[in-house]
Amino acid sequence: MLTIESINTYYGNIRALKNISIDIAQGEIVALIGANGAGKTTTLKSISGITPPRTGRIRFMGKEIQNAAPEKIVAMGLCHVPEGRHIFPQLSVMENLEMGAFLRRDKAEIKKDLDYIMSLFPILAQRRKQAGGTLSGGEQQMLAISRALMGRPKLLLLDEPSLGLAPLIIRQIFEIIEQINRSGTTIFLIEQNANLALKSSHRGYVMENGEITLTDTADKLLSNEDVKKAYLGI
Amino acid sequence: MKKKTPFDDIRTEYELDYSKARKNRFASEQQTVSIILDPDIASVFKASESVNKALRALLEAVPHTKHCAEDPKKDHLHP
Repeated sequence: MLTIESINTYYGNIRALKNISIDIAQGEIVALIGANGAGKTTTLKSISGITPPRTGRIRFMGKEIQNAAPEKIVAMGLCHVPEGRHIFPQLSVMENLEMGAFLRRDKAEIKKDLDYIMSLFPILAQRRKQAGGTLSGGEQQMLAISRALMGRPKLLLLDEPSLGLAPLIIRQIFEIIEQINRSGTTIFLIEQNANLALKSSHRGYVMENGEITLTDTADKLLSNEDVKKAYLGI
Repeated sequence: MKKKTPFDDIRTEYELDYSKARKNRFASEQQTVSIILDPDIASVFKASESVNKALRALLEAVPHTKHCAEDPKKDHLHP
């Protein structure tokens, strides 16, 4: 579904990603783990067209997207939930969700998707008229994921969905991520919480200093001694 | 009838209509562009500096393209 071939992304003269190659098949949950500053967020931003790679290729559903505009990438079926949620704090929950479908013209289907999201996150249905900025951290994360789902993604990119949330809420968010995956959406997830990310994923990639240093099934990464020592605190 | 979009690979429920789009006055001007080099070219030119140097020499050598550098949106070698 998504093939990243040897991409290099720069911030000015600083090379943030060094020959990154990643494959994601349809139906998978794939985790990208690594320390702070390893290049995980830049990888997601490169895929969604926010910081396009200077060299290399990214193919999504067989089409090259490394030079495509972000809105075109969304329209092709690839939606990004950014780190820190970035919901619209002044807009209501409902308006935030409508923004996720801003580029769509199929009103009847948008209504169906809103109903689906309200069933997935009943708390958002209760708070539909409330301003986004007044929600708790967990609710804002649910809203950010829901806003992305309103774009009807085939592939959902999630940047640190557990960031700043209480353990109980994190567990709830990850259960919902797995549920979204079971309903047919492929997920590429980046997390500093490696244990949590790998337990929910099929496969994983380990990133250090802008490079992929290891890739394997999630089970094997969880039992890998180096990964245990460096990322799982065992 | 559905309006034609400039893209042929976006999903049918989407419509990218730029007719009312305006430039973001808060955004800085795009100064660079990403170009993909074919492997044979990339094996010779390994850094942006060397590519820029070679292309500046080409601009000097082809008078028609030199004055057209003011219109960066157009590929003047392939009009």
